Amino acid sequence: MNTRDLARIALLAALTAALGLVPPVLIPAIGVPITAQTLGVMLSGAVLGPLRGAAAQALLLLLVAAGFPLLAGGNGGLGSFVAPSAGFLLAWPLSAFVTGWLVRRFRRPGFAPTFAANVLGGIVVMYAVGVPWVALTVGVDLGTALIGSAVFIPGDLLKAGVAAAAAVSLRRSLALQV
Amino acid sequence: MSAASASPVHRLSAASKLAALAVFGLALVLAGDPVVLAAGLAAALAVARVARLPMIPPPRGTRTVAAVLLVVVLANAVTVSWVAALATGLRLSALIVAAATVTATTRASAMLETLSALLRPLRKVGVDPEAVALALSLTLRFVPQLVELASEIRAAQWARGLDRHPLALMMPLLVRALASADAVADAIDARTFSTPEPPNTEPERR
Repeated sequence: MNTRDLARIALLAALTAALGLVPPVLIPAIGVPITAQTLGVMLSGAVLGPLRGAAAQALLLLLVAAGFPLLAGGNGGLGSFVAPSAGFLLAWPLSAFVTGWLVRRFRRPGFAPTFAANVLGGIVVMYAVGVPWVALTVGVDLGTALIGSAVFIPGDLLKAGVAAAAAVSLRRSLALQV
Repeated sequence: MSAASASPVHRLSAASKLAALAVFGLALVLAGDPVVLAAGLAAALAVARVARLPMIPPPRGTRTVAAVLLVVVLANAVTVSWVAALATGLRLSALIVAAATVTATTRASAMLETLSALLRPLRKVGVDPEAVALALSLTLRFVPQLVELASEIRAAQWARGLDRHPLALMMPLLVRALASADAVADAIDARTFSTPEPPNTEPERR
C-alpha cells in the first residue's frame, strides 16, 4: 500500500462523513434515520476495492468512536455504537468489503454488475447485520425488525444506482484499478 | 470538547472509562429485571451528574434519541409486553447516557490514542499504526475540504443553470477530490513519509 492508496482511503472515509451533512430523514417506523451516508459505503467498495474500501469505513468508525460528530445529523461518539441502529453502522466495513469483492469478480464492471454488487454488499449485507441487531436490542422478533427496516429499501436502491453510475464513470474517466 | 480536569470523571483515563463502559454494557445486556435496569439508569445519570454534563438544555441530538426510544418502547409494548418494553427502554437509556458521558468527558485525541492502541495487535496482519495515524488525520482534513469543494461546484453549476442533479454534483466532486488526494499523497512522499511500499513511480498526470 503506497501513500496514494492511503490518501484515497482517507478521502472515501471523509466523503462518507461529508454525505452525513445531507439532511437525514427519520422514518418513524423503528427509528433508523435514512441518510446519504451509505452511498459513501457503496462507493468505497466500488471505487477502492474490497480491502481499501473496508479500511476507509473502519477508519471512519474509529473517528466516530473517538467522538467526532461525523455521522448524519452531527451524531457521533460511543452512543452511536449502543443505539438500536448500531448494527447498520458496524456493518459498513463489511459492506464495503463485499461490494468491492463482488465488483472485482467482473472483468469489465459496467453499470448493471456494479449496481448488483452495490445492492448485495451495500443493502443485503447491511441488513443481514443491522436487522438482527435491531431485533436483539429492541427485543422484537426478526420479522418485525425487518418490516420496520424495509421502508429504507427504496432509498437504498436509489443510492445503489447513484453509486454504481458514479463508480463506473470514475473507472472510465480516471482508469482507476479496483 | 471537554474541558480538562473539570470533574473526577474527566480526569479518569480514556482506557479505564472504555473498560467501565464495556462492563456496564455487558451487565445491562445480561440483566432482565426492570428494577435492576432502573438502578443501572440511575447510576449512569449519577455519573453524568458528577461529570457536570449539561442536562438543560438537553445535549444536541437527544431529540432524535428520545424519538427512537419512544418508538422502540411502543413497538415492544405492542408486539411483546409492557414489562419487556419497560426493560428495553431502561436498558437503552442507561447505555446511551453512559456512552454519551464517556464521550463527553474524554478528549477525542485521548480516545483516538486509546482506540489506536487497541489496534496494535493488528500489526501482525499488516496494519501499520503510523499509516493509520496518517490516514486518520488526512480524513479529518478532507471532510471540510470536500464540503467546500461541493459548495464551489454547486455554485458554478447553478450559475450555468444546472440545478441539483445528484450525479452532476457527485462526478466533478469525486474527480477533483481524488486528484487533490493524489497531490497530497505525492507531497507527503516528497517529504519522505515511509510507507511499506515504495511511492508511486508512474508519471504525473496533468
